[in-house]
Amino acid sequence: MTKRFKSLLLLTAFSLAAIQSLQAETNIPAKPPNTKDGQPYSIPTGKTHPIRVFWGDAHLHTDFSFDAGLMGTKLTPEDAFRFARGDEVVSTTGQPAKLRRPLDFLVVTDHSNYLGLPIALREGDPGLLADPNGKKLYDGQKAGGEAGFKLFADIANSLSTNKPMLDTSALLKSTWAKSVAAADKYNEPGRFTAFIGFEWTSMPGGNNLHHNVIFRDSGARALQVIPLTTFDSEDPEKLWAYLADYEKKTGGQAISIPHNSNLSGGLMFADKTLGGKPFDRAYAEARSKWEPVAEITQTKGDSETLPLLSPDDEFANFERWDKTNIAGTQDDTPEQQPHNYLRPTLTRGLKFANELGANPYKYGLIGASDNHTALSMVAADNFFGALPHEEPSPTRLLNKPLSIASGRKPLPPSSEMASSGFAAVWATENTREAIFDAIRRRETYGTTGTRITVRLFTGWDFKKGDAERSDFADYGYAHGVPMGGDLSGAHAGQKPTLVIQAAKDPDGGNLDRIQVIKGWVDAQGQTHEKIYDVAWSGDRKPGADGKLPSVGNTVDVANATYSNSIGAPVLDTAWTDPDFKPAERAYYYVRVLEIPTPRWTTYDSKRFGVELLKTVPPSVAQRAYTSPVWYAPSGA
Amino acid sequence: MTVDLQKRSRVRAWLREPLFQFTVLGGVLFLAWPLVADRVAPPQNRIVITAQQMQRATDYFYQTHLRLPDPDELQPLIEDEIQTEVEFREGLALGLDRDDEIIRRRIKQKLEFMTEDVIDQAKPSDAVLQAYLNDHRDQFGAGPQIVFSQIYLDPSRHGDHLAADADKLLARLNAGDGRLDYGVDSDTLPVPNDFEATALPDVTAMFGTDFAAALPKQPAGHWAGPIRSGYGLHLVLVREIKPGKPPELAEVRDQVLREYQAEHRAVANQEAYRKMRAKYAISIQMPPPPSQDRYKPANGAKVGLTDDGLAPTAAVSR
Repeated sequence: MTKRFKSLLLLTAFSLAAIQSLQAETNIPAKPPNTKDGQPYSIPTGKTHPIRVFWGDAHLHTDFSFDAGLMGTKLTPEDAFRFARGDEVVSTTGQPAKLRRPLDFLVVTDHSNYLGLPIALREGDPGLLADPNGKKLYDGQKAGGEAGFKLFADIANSLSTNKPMLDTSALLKSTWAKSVAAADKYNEPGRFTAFIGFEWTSMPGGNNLHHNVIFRDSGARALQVIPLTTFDSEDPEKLWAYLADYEKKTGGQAISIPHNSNLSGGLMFADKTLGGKPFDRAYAEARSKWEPVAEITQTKGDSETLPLLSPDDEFANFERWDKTNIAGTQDDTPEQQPHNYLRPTLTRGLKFANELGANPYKYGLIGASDNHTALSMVAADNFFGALPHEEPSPTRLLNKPLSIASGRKPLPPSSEMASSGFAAVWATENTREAIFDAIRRRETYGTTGTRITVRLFTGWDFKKGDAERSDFADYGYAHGVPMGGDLSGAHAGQKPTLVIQAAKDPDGGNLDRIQVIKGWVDAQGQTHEKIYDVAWSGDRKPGADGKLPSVGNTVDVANATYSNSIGAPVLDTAWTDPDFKPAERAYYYVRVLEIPTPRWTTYDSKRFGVELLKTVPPSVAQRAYTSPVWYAPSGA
Repeated sequence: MTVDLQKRSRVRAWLREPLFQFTVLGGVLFLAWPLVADRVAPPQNRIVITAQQMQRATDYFYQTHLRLPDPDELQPLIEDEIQTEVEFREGLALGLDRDDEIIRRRIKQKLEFMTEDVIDQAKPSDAVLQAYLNDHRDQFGAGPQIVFSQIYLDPSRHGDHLAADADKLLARLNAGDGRLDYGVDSDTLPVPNDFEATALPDVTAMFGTDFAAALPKQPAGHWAGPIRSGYGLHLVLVREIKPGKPPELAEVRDQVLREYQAEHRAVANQEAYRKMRAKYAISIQMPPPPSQDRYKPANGAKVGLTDDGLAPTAAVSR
């Protein structure tokens, strides 16, 4: 008797407790927590502006992602966070892996489509097996061989056709809870920032419209929603509505970061909406609000520009993935390329800003890895590949091109993966709030896997020598705007001056040069771009053609070494735009180039004693791309 | 009269209260059950849906809805539990649990969960956690902080004179003539010259590993060095080293527990498996070598096979 009565009581008590915990969950502090002493976690600086750059990866997949997990990745989001903060972990292929220097932050962005599917398959999840297609998949995977490959390809293809193979909504909910819990568990304000996030993997017709979603908040808010999948919608405008809805519903904040525009078949920056309508002001404002930054570099190639688009840019031929869209359903055409790359798109954005009064392409720049191994490791001399079968091995350079299915054009082979890149963020402290806010205000840059420090301020009153001030940052914030900022309203005779400091990666190659890349629209509505070399190492003089001579190349290919006998550890300059016209809208971003160092394939060749490939260069100039500063005429 | 009415409406309110109805109904069922139970089903066919099961079902409902089920929604949860139990028993009776790959894996998984539970559920005592904290002090709370200044000498600006220039400057700074102007004496570097209390990981992030290792070893109170970083040479003035404040267990309990569990989980799992495996005599029968066709992808598509047929990969979508 007592036992049964107790059960009843227990149920009642539990209900009450659950209601209480529900109330507790929604009781969110308005401010980030301070320490016990009431001090914030940051380096105590007495300053309100950032004093150091924080390094991270804004894009990483684990065994929760359908493709990573089905390709064999065994490492979990928890493993990913432990690795990123500097712990040694054992990789999927059983190799110990460790970063030379830890990262400051990480966003685990597993695909929302089929989130958790590999785990459910491995565990024979009853919910999955109850679905006829889930059962087929399970049997197929167990059988292996042809049947396994076929089903695997079917899953990937269902994203291009946007027809779900099976209903995984229950799985999505439960896996989302696990993903959020892992981030909350490893987030330690002041020490290591673990963001909650996911990837929304839209690819209409095989054209890459992928976006990563990053939440500023903890699970108390993020668990009130479940990730949007592309089976809900493939349209980025629906993703923005989802983000707006999240903010309204929870009081939290979230943004999305598009990536691999280079594989979008011209769709990412198509100059019209996905529905085919022309842009209007509301669209432009929404896009720049919900997509403040874009990935300019990652393992699947660089998205800055191409030699075709920027024939005057001698450094444009860099880690190109420019043959097809992401699913290999179509070849790229020259007409599409301006819509696949960020530099021409930033320039067209100015034109739209003139026409609409708002810039739809107001992208700050950031880097990421997009690795599918749960390991954010992209340094050229410590590159663990983007996919499990690309982890270090004597045969990885020989992996053949990937193809999703028969009749599809292949994607480049493993050897053409770039060991790239990093997200660099000028934030006031290492917390979710500070780093998110810095990304939202675009005070970010991306690098191709090196840790170059670069700082930029733009203003009207900077003069020669200001880039060498010992109070550079204080002075810069007081008299100008940092990367990602806006300048407007030049007075007669005024010209913008960029003050720039750049330092090498303390563990990497010296710097070759700093370049300013300017885009503008002239009075006739024509778009232009121009590259200025503004600071360089040594006493090189530009030639008659205006080109700065090459810094040289110290790479010893056979031994995979280089020497810092060329280049400089630090470069700085105050550069005034000689061609400035106050009536013309413009942007300026900075590109910092390292001296040539061995490409990751060259390190592989030396370490495994395998033949060097002729299809990839033996050395590359690693680089950093800052967010632009935008200039608008007054009244514009 | 009024009092009476109030009383009566209070009674009515009580009668309408679902919890009251539930309790009374439960009480009646409870009292009546022993009288009828044996006539309804033989003992082995009795199903008791336990409070634990109901709690689990309610938990799951809460996870997916972020609220509790209302009475209408509770009934299907109960029905579902019953159906699962009935079908499970019928399946057992048919012997479906034997030689089934899914069940084999599920049971293995459950056993592994149980082993992991040893770590996750066993609440280590405060003494254990305190000992772990003592052994891993650097990982928790605020570590030591250094108040320091640095002057940077850029090798590309000083060339062959780098070391001599550093020594000359060091001598001058320590001679105490008060002349110090970072704008003149320090070469440009996009990190500050003066640092208030700064944690070592931040020093590493800004100056690299070598500098961070050397800095705390410099004598405090006067300019010292030069010490080397990836950028070049630095003269440093360590003003103060603030020892790390040993964190109280209460402040960092969650983190200590997280690290303790992570460290012990793998060991506990291996140990548990080692013990179980030792009980068995194992023999292995290999299948014949696979035919080429077995690992060929659908439709003859090339799917990222290396020449030797290793590293099978098919779809990629990122």
